Amino acid sequence: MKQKLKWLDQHKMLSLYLLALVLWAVYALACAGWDALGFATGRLHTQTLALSDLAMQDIVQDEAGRWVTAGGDPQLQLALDQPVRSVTLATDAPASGFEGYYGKVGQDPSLRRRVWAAETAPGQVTLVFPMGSGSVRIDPAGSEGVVLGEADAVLTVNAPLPLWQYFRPLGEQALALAVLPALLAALWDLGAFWAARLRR
Amino acid sequence: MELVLSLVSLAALGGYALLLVRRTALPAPLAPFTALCATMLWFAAAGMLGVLVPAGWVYFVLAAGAWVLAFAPVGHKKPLSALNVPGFLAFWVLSAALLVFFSWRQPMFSTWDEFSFWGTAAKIVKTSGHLYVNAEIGWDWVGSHRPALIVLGYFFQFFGPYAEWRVLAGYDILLLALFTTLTAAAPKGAWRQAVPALGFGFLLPFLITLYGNVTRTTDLYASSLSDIPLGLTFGGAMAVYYMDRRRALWPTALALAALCLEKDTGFAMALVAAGIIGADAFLSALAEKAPAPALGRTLAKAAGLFLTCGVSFWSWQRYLSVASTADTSNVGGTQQMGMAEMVITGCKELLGIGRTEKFSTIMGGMVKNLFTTTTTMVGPFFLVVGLTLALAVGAALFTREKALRRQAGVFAVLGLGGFAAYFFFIGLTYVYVFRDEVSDGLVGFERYMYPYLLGWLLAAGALVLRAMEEERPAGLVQTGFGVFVLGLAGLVWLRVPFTLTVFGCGDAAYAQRWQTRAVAREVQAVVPEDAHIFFVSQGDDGSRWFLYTYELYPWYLDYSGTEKMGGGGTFALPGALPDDTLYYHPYTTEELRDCILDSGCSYLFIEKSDDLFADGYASLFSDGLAGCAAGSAVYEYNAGTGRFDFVCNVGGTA
Repeated sequence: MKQKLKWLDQHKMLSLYLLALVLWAVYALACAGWDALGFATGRLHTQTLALSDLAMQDIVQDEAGRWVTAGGDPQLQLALDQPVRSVTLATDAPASGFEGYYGKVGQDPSLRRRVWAAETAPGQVTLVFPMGSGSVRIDPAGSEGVVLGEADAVLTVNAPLPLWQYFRPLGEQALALAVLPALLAALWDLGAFWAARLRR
Repeated sequence: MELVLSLVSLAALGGYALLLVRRTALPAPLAPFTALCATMLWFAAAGMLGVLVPAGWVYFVLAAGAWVLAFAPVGHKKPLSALNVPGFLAFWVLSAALLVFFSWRQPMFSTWDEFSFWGTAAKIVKTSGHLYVNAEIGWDWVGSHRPALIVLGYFFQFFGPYAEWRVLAGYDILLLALFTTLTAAAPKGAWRQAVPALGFGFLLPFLITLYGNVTRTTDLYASSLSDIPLGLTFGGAMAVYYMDRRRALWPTALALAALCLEKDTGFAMALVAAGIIGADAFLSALAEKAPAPALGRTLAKAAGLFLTCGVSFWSWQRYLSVASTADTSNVGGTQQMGMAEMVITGCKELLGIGRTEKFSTIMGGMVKNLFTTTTTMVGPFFLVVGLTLALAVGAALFTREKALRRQAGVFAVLGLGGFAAYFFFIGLTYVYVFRDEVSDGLVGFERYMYPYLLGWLLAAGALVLRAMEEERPAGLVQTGFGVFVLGLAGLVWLRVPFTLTVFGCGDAAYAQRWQTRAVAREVQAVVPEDAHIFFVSQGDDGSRWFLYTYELYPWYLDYSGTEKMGGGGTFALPGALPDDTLYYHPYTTEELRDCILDSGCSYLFIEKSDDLFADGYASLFSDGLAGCAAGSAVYEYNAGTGRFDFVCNVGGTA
């Protein structure tokens, strides 16, 4: 045991990054399990919403009935009776134009609580939100004239996610994974330095 | 595949770095930067000699030899444990991680200057296998900018196809190598020193360059502009000297030579660094009561630093005089002065001899900016100067090493003098070089000042980190610097959302570039490579034209206009727009036709048409410009009918 602790002390950086990976995997599996439990108990359910049922800004229907962005800051706002884990929209609009803002109900959108969309299948855009996202805003494009869908376009909330999605860090989670182990290694080393010095 | 081939370049660099560590007295964390400087010089020299590609092959073959020699059981070499220091290990891991990340994120160029020079030159070098000075570009190509950073991008994509992310990764690996020099005082396992050292370096560009509306947040660590590498190389040249207890000058000489080949202003900065280091070396020798021969050798080595700067600077001038038609004798601009004349005239005006109102206004404005404008995250520039001096004083106060105290003093005094000289020099360019609309508003003032401050601050950090070797009382500097860097990190974290950086941004940051690239590919598919293309994008301010010149290269996008009124803009009949409309080409139908044909263009790429263009020139097109109704279009000249025939639409339909 003593030897193992010594090895850890000599390989602080490696140990902490490995620990971070393990903790991340545990967290991802816990999220997946919590979601599965949520679906089983009814806390989460897959919901299909017509675009026409959503609160929106700078998005209108054109003469053909298509949903089109009509201003510089188009938005779709979702305030549902369940947490939002994912939103999927069938659209030919580029996935790169979509971004999602999340927070607790009533919280203002913030650049620090932002996720990016991915094209999960041809003509299908998906946004995944972290746990605890009660209120969600989706900005589908940065400009006007982008066609989001036909008159009967719908989006799907909380379609079950594939397991690998839970392992993908979102937003500042990636920053934390990259930086925190190094920071902790430095603190650990500094602590050990002072401990040794004070012992002397 | 591109990733693997970029990793090959990194591995080749690793061979040289390993060789330096094992076969010379150079501390391991200084090796990557030293090897990178030598690499830039090798490729720059090869480019000037016209043997870029063969020299590249030689470089990689020698790199394989370097790997062997680094481990061969012959001759004296340092033990393998010399490699096991935090900074050295971190550099390779971080560089490889950066390449992996960039190959996935695929960052792209985004600023005007990247398309008008830095990015375009990188593409030219990779595409042609030669330097860019005499490249056939549709405008009056200013190919006289220095090549070190361009060939750095070339080195990281020597094998495989051209990709922007590989250029950008090359720049960042240079920055990582620079930050690694700061860890040279950290012994094995001392992450308490190495992590703050790397963090300090990494945070510097955020702290210094983000507040002047010069750098877009997403472009930080994803830009091919020279300012940040230039400044940090200036600091790195001093850091490799300060971080080496043996005070070897040859790594500094390599760094200074590279600095002189990064940008014109690099020469001025290199002279400042050479002055600081030369004076330090001489004073150290004096203080240590070195015998006369040793003193003479130190003086000669110090003089060698200046000579290195001169030779490096001159080599490019000489190359231009032989290879280019560009006039390299004057600095251009409104006064058409030579460099020496500009400095002499400026000094006279400073002393009040023939001082003009323009001189007084500009210099007064710059001094005011120095103290009052919040140009960095820390505050106005004078606060950055104060911080730098404080770090130097801190290093002097908390070290037991007498030599380091002296070094910190020389650094502070001469560095401040260098700052004043650099500040004055930048002022002179506003007075004598820039046009009035630039100099009146001191446009880009922050951008020109950033490099010096970045480098100076980096070198000050090096002094503090050196002080950790023999700090008094033990642990105080290590802890204090760690807290200081943590504070800086907190400041950056509070001010810059992660999702606005290249490390956290989404595809949206580069969506428009991907779109224009797809359009350019479609144009290239229908236009022969040797054809000249005339460009029309109504309402363009030149940015679309520069962008497509870059995207289409090696296809030739014509200047697309006459008498310095081309390069994008709006074509309309005379009188259709006010004369002072930006980039307005008031051509009659015949004039436009003649302009296109006289310039040798047989294809037209109409990125954006409008009513003005259709009203004036529809008769030149066999379909009456009906093709443009569906979006961007390509037309080909039909000599039989004397009109342009529709070829296809590009970039989807409107």
